[in-house]
Amino acid sequence: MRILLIDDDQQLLNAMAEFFNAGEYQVYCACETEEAVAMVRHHRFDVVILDLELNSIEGLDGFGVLKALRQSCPRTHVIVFSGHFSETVVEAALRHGGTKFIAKPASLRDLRAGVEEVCSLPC
Amino acid sequence: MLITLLDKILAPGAISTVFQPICRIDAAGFKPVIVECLSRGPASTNAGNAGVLFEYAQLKAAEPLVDRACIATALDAVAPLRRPEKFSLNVFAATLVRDAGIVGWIGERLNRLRLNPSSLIFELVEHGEAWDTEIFLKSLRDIRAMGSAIALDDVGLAHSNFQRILDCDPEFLKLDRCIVRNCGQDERRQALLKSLGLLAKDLGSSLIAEGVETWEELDTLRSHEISLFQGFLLSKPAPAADLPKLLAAIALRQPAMPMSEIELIQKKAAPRVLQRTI
Repeated sequence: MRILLIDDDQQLLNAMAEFFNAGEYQVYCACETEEAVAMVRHHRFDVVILDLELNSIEGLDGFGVLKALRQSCPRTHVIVFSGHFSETVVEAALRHGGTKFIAKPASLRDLRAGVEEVCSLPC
Repeated sequence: MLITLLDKILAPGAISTVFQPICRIDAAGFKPVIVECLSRGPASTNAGNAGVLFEYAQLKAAEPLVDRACIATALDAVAPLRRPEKFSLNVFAATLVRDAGIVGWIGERLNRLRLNPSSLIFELVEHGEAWDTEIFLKSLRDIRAMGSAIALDDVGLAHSNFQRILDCDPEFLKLDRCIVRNCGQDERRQALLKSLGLLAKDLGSSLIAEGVETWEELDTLRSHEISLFQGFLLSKPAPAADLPKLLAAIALRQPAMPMSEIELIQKKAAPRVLQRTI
C-alpha cells in the first residue's frame, strides 16, 4: 500500500514515516505544498495524510493540495490531519474531498486506525 | 529552518544527467544523430523522479534556477564525451522570458568547455502562463545568433500549441508520446501524424517521434515519413559512461531490446517484421 505523508513539521513527518515504514506501507513524504502537488500529479497513492496548515510562499495551502489530489487521484483516500478543527474547517475539508478528518494532536496508533478505516471503504 | 526540496535540488552536485539517443532510421539503417541530456534530481528525494522535479520547479516558479543548474550539469557531462552527434538540452520556455541572460550564459559555458554552439539544440518545454512575447522572441534570436537550433518539445500535449510553433520556427517538432502510443492501431492518431507531417514539411521542420516503444509504432511512424526516433525501443536513458557503447550498438542495428520481446512481437506480427528493410 502506498501512502503519502504531507506535513511541514519535519519531526512529526519523520515520526509518522518511521511508524508507517515499520508496517506494510510504501511511505513517501512531502513537507511543502508544491512538493506535495508535484507528487500527487506524478504518482498514485492509496492513502494521503494531509496537514492543512502548510507553509508556502506561493499561496498554495492544504486545500490547494486537496484540490490537486481530487483532480489527479480521485480514488485516493485523504485523511485530513489538522490542528484547526472548528466545525467550519472540518466541513470544508470533507467538502473539498477529504475522506476523514483527524484532529491534532493524535497518536500514531490513531492515525493507523484511520488509515485502516478509510482503506476498508469503497474507492 | 525548513530545508526545502528546492534547497536540496540546487545543492552543488545534486543534479545528475543521463542521456537518451535520437536516431535516424531509414533504409541505410540506424544512426544516432542527437543525444538528449535528461536531468534527474537528487535520488534520495522526491525530485529523483524527473516529472516531480520539473513540476515542482514550475510550482515554485523556480524554472530559471533549476534550468541553470540542470544545464550546467549537463554541459559539464557532455564536454568530456567529445561525441560527433548533436546534443539537446531542455529549457522551460518560461526561463527564456524570466531569465533574459541565460542564452549568453550558456554561450559562455559552451565556449569555456570548447563545445560548438552549432551542436546544441534547445528543446523548449512549454507550460502556458502569462507571457512576454518580446523577451521570448529576443531569447530565440539570441539562440539562433549563437548558431544553435530549436526543437519544440511535447508537441500535441497541453500547451505546446500552434502559436508557439509560429513564435519559435523550430528546426524540430518533437511529437509527444500521447500521439505515438499505439499509433499503429489507431486511425485518429494516424490522421494526426499525417497532418503534422504536412505541417512540418511546409514549415521546414523535422519531426522527431518521442516515446517509441514498439516495432509496430516505429513502422507506422516510418510509413508517415518520419525518420527521427527516440524511445525505449532504441534505448532507455543511460549514464555517460555507458553512452559510447550504447551508441555503437545502435549504429550496428542492435537496438537495446530484450530478445524475448522481439520474439514476442515477431510472433504477433510476423509478416511485418519479416518484410522489414532496416
